[in-house]
Amino acid sequence: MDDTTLRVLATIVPLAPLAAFAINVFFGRWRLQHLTGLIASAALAISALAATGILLGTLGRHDAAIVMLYRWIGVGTFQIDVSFQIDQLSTLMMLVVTWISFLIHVYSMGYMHDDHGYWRFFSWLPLFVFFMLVLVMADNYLLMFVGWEGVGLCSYLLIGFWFEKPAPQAAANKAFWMNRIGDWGFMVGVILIFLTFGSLAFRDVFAKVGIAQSELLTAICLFLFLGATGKSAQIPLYTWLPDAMEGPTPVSALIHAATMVTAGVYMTARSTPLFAEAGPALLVVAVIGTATAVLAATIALVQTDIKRVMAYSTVSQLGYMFLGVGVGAPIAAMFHLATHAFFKALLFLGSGSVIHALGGQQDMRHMGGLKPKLPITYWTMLIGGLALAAIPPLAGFWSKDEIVNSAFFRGQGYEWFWAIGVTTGALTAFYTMRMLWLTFHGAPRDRHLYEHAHESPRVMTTPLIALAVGAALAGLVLGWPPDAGWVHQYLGPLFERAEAIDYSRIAVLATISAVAGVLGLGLAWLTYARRRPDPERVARTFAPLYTLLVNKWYLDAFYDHNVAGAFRWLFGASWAFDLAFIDGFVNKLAAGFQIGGRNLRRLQTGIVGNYALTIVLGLLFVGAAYAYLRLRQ
Amino acid sequence: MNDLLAILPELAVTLTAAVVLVVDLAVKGPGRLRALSLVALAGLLVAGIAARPGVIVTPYTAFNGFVVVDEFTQFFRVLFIVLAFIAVLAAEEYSARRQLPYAELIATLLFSTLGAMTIALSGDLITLFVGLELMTIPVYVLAGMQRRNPFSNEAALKYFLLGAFSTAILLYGFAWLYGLTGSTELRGIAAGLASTGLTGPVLVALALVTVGLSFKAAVVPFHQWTPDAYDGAPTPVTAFMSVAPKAAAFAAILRLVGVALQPLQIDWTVAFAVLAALTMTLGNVVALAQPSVKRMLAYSSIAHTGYIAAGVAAAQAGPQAWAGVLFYAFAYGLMNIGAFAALMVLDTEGTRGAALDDLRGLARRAPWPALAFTVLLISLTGLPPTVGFWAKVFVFLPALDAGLGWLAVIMALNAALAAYYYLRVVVYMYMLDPEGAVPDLAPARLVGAAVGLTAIASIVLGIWTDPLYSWAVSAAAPILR
Repeated sequence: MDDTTLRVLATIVPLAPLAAFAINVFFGRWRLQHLTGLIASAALAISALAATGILLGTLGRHDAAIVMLYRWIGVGTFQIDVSFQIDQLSTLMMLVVTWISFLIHVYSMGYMHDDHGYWRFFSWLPLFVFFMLVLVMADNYLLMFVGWEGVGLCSYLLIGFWFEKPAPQAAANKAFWMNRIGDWGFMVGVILIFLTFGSLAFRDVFAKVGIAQSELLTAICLFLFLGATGKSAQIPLYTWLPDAMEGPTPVSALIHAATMVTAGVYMTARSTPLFAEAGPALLVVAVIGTATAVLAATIALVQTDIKRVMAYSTVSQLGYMFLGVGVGAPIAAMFHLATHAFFKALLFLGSGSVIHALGGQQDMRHMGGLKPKLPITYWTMLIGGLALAAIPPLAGFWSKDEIVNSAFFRGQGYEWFWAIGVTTGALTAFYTMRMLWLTFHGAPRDRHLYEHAHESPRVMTTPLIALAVGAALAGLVLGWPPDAGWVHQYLGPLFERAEAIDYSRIAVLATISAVAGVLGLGLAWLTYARRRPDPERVARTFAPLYTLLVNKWYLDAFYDHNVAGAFRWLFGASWAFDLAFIDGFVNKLAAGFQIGGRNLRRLQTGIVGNYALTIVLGLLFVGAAYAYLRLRQ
Repeated sequence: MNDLLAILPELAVTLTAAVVLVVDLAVKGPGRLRALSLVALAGLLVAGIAARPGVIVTPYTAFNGFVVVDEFTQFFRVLFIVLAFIAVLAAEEYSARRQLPYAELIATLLFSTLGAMTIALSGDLITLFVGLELMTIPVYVLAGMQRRNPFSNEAALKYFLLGAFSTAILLYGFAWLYGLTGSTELRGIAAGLASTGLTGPVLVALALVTVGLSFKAAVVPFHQWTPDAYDGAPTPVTAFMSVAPKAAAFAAILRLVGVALQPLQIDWTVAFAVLAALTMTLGNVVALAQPSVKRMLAYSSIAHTGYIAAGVAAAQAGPQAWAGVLFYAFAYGLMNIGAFAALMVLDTEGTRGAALDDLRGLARRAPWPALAFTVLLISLTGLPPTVGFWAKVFVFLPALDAGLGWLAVIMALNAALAAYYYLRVVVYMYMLDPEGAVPDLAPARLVGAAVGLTAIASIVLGIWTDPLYSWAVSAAAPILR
């Protein structure tokens, strides 16, 4: 592909959603109304096709293409271009983002059909996609930061989409504040990068990585990673994501499962050249990722809200991706990012379909037996669920297995990560089965809701089917054979290759994790279908553990009471201080300025003679000042 | 012939003004005003094309050194043409409502533009002075255009009396310079000053010139004509006179102190630093206390003068400093003319209009103008992603580089003050409901276009900043070494 074509396509990819946003936000409310959904979806289709064009056109190419749109600003050495880096990593992200977004836009046309904020929804959603594309296509950290902040803003707007209700407002604020902490870390990291390397462009920074001291590099990476934990909902900044489920379900699927929350993973993978040299930074990433994976999976075991199960599952799966980056397998992490985008978007849209069918009910305790009522939803969600549970040959199996296996092959104690990862896999299978069973099987627990349930319209089920195909096949297509599949050959040139692949060991490990997955499924089936053991009795027997999990390890409460409490106390104290001293001072100052302003106004007498006198006095003053300066020299 | 080619854009503007007057006589009937506007806009477009923005010129002189054409000239030519263009757009509907003599108004405005352009190309004290007068005298007339309005008359008379006074001071300074160096050519003066050294008489000349030019730019304490003149003049005139003469005054300052008085750089940088600090602080503090938006904008324009003067004072930081001055002048011109145009959306009585209370709930009554006005106010405040933010950055950084840390601190504090009174207007438009009688909305398609264009430009130049800034850098290069 010649450069001009590439340039045109790379411009179309982000610009199409931006155009849709501009059209819908200005004309949506009065003129276009329900056309806004069509416009946004069409724009996303264009964008997705352009991204595919880029993929096909650059397949043979191994170097990154830089598409410079324009120079944003250049003051001395501080030069920032608005330019894109088109390489395998960004192309993969572009494909995932545009195609999944397209499907979710189509789905939303059905899901949001009766909402009076329809045009608003289809303004913010393409705007989000635009910023997400800027984030993944940027060739420097500052432009990436623009996208980073932009997706945060859109996430805030969309979580609080139903802002008339208090819960979405609170959730939006929580997401915003937690992300601010992360963004602060990212910003500090970016500033440190500029001070250290004198540039923010990826290629310059990575080329000069050797000039930085190891400690400084570690600090940079840890600050960047703090940003990643905020955006990608990892310990300690993960509690906003479950609350973010207050937003419309397509938003949860797109932003809080498939794309935005993976931005941290992408950023860390993109910064691999920094992290690789940064001593303990990668180990920190691996530890945080693993701990988050376990923690979130255990909480997901006992959730009763279908979307919250999915939310904790997302947090857990993101933990896997960070584990992959942390153990030096960024390709496996990106692979899992891609497959996860399919099956998690599918599961969210499926649960959206269920919620839609039940008139807004999200609590699984009111569901049950919905399988005959919602056949398409059931079968697609089953595929998505098995993919999440990492049952071969579905997508999740291949990608997750590569991550945990990479930890095993690393040796030197990293086998522990593998062991925890496999165990968490069993937990994942358990809560997935539990969710599916409680929703679709058994006897209906709410007759009234059950009677009124109906399958969703075609516009919603078609995306489900498309995603289900992806969730079923993406792993095999992209990842077969293990550690040498298409995704490895494609991304390989970007990352240093690991040692030779030992298929006999892979086969053993794969069998172990497949067995773990089936074990989890079976246990859940026994518990919820056969009631052997009876789940209530289990809960009673292990009451302390159960309470611990239901209360999310008391971490939310700890945050609310202690951390937030401490902050609130701090805020209160500083507010009081503010009121008494700063405000007092500022108010005095402002009052002073007001009085000063009023008095100074009086100088403006309106009498020309006075003005002329002032000019003369000013002239004398300037003359005297010049003379004084001269005499002093 | 080459001499005439050198001043082609100026000739185009002159011709346009003449044609406007002829058309006024020839065309009668309801389409007259529109015809006049179209002629003026077309003429300005031609002048703009003649000024060839973007093509870097190698500096050359014409008319025996009286005229200098370099990137600096080009930059200001384009700026003045753009400002005149927007001023004409904004003037027609207002003039129709208030029965102002429209043809005279645009012709006079074009003559003033011509004067401003002449300042930008002057290579000699004589050209500079002719340009200054050619720019200022039409503005006296413009301010008094609304003859039956006492405030308009007051504005014109005050501006004229004080303007004449300051012109005398400036001219006296020129006389001293000529007497000391025997030359009126700017580079000749620089050579002369370099050889005479710094004597008492040189300081007298320097003081006179500083004060004379400071008056034109409305630097404190030579600013007092500004609020009265801006407030009393018809609003379209205020829009123009708050931007073009100010930018022209800075063009004159840069040409004169940068080229002719270059040997005295150490002295005038200190003077301008002190005056800049005074100017921005006083402008902002008094703007805080203004209940009238028009007067608030008048004082805030003084504050902006202070920022631009800070860029002048940072001359020791090299060409970047004056690139900041040029960029700021350009950005300020767009934002401020747009803000005044936004006030013309309200059909308030008389010249002194638009109290803060008149703007209550404007967002609901006129959503588009209110949105554009908000963008302009945000840009004037200096928040990203607007051009006003970069303008502040580009004078702030050189001030730091030039070792004027204290001035940078004052600039930052002042930006906070400005946020208060600018954003207060947004609060009135969006968050408060109207109380009692609200002024009618004027039919405002052309004014709306002017406001919209400037608002869009504020954002576009904030996101796509480098072309303008690079141009400013290459325009500042021939002046400051």
